[in-house]
Amino acid sequence: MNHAREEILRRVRRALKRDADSVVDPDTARDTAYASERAPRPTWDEKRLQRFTERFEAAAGTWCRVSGPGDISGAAVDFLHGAGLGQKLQLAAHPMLDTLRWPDQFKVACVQRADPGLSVGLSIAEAAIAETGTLVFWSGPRAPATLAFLSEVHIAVLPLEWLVDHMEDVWTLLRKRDGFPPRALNLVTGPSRTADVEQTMQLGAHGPRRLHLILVG
Amino acid sequence: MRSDAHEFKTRARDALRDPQLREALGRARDGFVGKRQKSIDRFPDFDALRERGRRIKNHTLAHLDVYLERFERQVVAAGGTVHWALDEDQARQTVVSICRQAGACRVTKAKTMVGEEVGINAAIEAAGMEAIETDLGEYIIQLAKEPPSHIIAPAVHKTRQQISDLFRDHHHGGDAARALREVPELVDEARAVLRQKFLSADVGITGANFLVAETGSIVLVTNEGNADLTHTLPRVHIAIAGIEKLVPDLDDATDLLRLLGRSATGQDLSAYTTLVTGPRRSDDPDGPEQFHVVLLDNGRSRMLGNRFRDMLRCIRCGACMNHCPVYAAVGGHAYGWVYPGPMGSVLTPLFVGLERTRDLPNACTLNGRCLSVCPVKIPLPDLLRELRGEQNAQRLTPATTRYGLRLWGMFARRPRLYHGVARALVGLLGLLGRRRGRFRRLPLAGAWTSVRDLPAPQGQTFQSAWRAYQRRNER
Repeated sequence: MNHAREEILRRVRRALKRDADSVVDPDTARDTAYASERAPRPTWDEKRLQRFTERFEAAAGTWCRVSGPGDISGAAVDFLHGAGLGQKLQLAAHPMLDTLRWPDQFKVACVQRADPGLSVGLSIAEAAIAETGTLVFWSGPRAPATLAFLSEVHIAVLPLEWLVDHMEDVWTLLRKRDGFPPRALNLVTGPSRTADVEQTMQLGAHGPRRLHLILVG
Repeated sequence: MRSDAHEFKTRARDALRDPQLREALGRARDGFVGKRQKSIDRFPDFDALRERGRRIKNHTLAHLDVYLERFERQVVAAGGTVHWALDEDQARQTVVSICRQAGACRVTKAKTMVGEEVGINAAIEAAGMEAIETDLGEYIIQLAKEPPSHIIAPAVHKTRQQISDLFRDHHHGGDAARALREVPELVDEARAVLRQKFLSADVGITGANFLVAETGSIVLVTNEGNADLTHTLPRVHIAIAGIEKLVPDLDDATDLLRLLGRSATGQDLSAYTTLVTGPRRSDDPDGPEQFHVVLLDNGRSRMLGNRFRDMLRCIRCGACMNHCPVYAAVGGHAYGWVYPGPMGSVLTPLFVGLERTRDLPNACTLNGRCLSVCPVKIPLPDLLRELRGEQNAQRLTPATTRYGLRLWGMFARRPRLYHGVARALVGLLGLLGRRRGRFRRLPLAGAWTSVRDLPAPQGQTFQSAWRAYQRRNER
């Protein structure tokens, strides 16, 4: 398909009235066109955390808050009990979850790939966006993407200091990290949903039916 | 995909007589328009953001060659492969040959309008493989063997009863006990059926909402999460996108995402927005071994060089059709090809040719609502007018229309003559219609008077009445 490549680029350049050797500096042109001005963004008066939880709830997410990483398992257990979701759980292989203690009757498996037969998965978000109530997951061994998509119920954990205001702040934060961008960076705003039958909103289309967040800190 | 746009009039007439379609369309329009408005009311700067969206896309299109090459370099650096396709044929061949090389039996698909444009499903099936749509709406119309009727809600024309019937026939062998069912039950059933397909697919095909030159990433937006299961579980991921989908960097994609969600479904952000870059990394527990991007031209580079470049800004949100009275009356299938509504009435003639799409640019009242809601300010009414002019220039309009327009043009360029003739005609009609106050039939206006009466003029043109008024006031 090399011919197609050359031909498409040739047609594009002809349409733009340029030849292959013309010197173009799109980055300067971009600054002049718009990028030197700040983009209009949604703003809010309340505190960052309040904005986040308000948007997160608006997207049908539920949440609780604990003071330290050691309390994650307790919060997860309480949630599962309260919702009658059984005592089985799949965890991501994340250092924050390694040392957690679980009640004896709980069957907790640390997995690299979610078992579609098991219904509850727990993983750690790498960031969160107050603007939209969105959690950000970085696919990889510490947060297998299947946990966030194959589970019936997804429990997410977010250390509060990783909460930022806008989506742009996530890029600024993560661009500096080794390995950015990962294969998949998932921005998740509430559980899976569809309105394809008569415009009626129904949760749990293909991904999780419920998304529960444990805020740490 | 084959176009049936030349049947617009017949299809529109049938649509107007279809009570189930009327019910479905009425419900959809109220939902979309209201939700969009609510989300924009919460974001007072939305108009300024539309202007920014317009500039981002204009800038990208003006440097498209550079950004295409930058994107390609980054995809390759991330371990992916870029394929270029001049037309539908090449796109189909590329996709089928990747599937064949992967030894695929089953291919899952997340909704892609470009996939519809080139007819991917038929090509995959003709090659002996199974292609399964995973977006619930797309899955429903795949069962019904119909094309989508809306670019973001493909089954918007189907009622719950029709969907229940489809599921009864396809999932339960026509078991009569499965009558009308509730929404949760239908969604759950599709979830269970499609989950098995996801877990056993060899190749996953998605579109791309944006292509990011900075990182060589594609951006995928869904509410169901089906695109993520489609690109995460199989061995091979193919993304297919038009060359106009590029944006320079992640901040630009962010601006456009703010426009997209609000314009499409009234959401600040869809439930799942994913940045996909390359195949599985060495330590990744999941993801495909191969990542392919197919970049499709199919007429886009031609639009880049003519008066229709503005149309390449389109981010496929569907707001124009949600606000169009013609779309609301006839639905998406009347338009006869992949893209319906105002954006489709511009795109279809440009992709398929003016000849077989004559009615589309004329199926418009030029009320301008599409332009006022477009997140990237595409002057859709102007583009439709351009197409009408083009039709006239290529003698595709009926001879009577052309001669009529020429005659009218002759008068319109001679204001004195125009006003003189208008005065005489209005005077004459006023005299003739004085008794009844209206006309039931008029020569040369048969189409107009066949469904309504023409009120008789009062005997004076506006211009002469205005002059008389001014003279009175001067005194």
